Amino acid sequence: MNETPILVQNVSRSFDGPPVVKDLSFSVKPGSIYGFLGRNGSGKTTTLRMLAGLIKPHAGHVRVMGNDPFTIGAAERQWLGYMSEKAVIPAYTKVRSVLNLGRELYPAWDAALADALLAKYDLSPKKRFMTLSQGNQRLLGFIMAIAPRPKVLLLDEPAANLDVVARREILDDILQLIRDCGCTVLFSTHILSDVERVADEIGVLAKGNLRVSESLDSLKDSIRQVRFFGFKNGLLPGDIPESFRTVRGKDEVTITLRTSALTTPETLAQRWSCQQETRALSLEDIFVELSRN
Amino acid sequence: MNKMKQFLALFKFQMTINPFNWFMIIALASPLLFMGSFSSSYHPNLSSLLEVQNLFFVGIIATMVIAPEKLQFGGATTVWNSGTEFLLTRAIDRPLHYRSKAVFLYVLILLAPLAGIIYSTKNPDLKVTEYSQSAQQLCLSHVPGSTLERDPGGSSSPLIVIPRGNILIEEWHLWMFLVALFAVQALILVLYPFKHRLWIFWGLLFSSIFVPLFIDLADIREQTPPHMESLFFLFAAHQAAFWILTALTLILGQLWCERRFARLEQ
Repeated sequence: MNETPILVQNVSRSFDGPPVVKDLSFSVKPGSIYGFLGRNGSGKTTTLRMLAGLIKPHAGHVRVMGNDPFTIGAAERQWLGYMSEKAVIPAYTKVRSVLNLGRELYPAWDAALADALLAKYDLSPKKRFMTLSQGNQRLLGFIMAIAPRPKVLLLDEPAANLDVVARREILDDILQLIRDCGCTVLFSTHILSDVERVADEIGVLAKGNLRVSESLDSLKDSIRQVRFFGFKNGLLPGDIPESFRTVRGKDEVTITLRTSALTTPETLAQRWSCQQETRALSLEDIFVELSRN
Repeated sequence: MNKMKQFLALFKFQMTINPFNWFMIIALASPLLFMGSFSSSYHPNLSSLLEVQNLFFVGIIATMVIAPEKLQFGGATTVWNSGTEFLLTRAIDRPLHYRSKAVFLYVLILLAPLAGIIYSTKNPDLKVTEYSQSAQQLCLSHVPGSTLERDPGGSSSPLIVIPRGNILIEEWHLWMFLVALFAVQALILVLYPFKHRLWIFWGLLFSSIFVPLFIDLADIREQTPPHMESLFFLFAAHQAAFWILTALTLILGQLWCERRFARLEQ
């Protein structure tokens, strides 16, 4: 896989109103798992739908394996797996018909994998889609996305409505797929523990803007919440560096910022002649700080 | 994967999407059974034979099967008929998806009038009362073999006798269904770019129920042969040309439709 499997460049998109996604840019490295985080309405699903070729960007462009997903045909779609956040499989369709369709459309369809997952998730092929529980409907959607052995897998809230065990199993299956064939995965979620468990990189989307896009370790290492207090002259600083969130108190200021060689809590405290207290943030803390500002 | 295999896989899936689609055939066939020509050789009114009251159902079914999901009461959380989002994100060529839907639609909707044609061969000739003298003349000049006959019931208006007229009426119904099927798809495509497409489209579709009524009222006022009858006589006079033109329009039109549908967002 030489080219960037997933590329989003300066993408904006709106729906009869203000943009849902604004000048969004990120890419996903081959063979990695990218966790796409964001609150409801932050633009995650819109981005995934653009990557799946269901809608087009109004500005910028998206590429999957170097192709525009809206215009690709059957041959190029062989390697693209997609699972929607909605129940998009027609309600009266039987599980067996859905799987048969997969078998007929994909030359690389892994029937053994599909059968194994069917048995593992205890899904009866005779049942109609509408009679499945919401969790099982999602599991069928997941089987349809994973059984073609795609090179790029797009999962929109794959673990929504699933119990803890099924969620774990889905995540294990994603990891297994990557071990087997080096598949690149982009998945959106609200569940931070899932991201911590499987993602190599994460992107946090807030109101259509990508706040960060980097490896989980780097994010955890670099983002800190620092409380500055005990200012000698009693005045709070005016030259606060670029931060994710700043909360000014009566005689203290709390800043969530990205630390670097030049911007460390110590150098800032020295510059402002004050004391500082630094707190490492959990992923949940980081997500909340980035999303609510 | 070759296109034919892909098409067949999609078509097969389309047939199983919603078993209740097949009950639509009954909804389409029942008015033809009760009002159509094959139950009797005598009919009191030609206009009522020609008007297909259930063309509205054709519009509904066509929309359910082929329209983008945004035209199908967008807020619905369950997919009953279309499955377009699911299918467009599988390994398919987008135009083929719409071709399979269109072929399914034609099969589903044309079964009723085709059955009507077959059944009408049992009782092919038609006798119908026609009050308008201009319509009588138009029929005699356009419909091959048609004659006038005194009404044995004693009415002052003569009967028009059309050999194989019942078959002709059923062929007319088939033609109307074909035109309606294509017209609905074209309407969807024309209206889709508009912001208030959902309201405009469904408003037009529902108001189409009343169109034949308004045409009838206009015809009464104008004292001319009813529009529907005039068109039917033309159809009877130039059947081959009608069918060739219809076939060409449908083939080219459907290719245009499937390309346009394929370019629409979901």
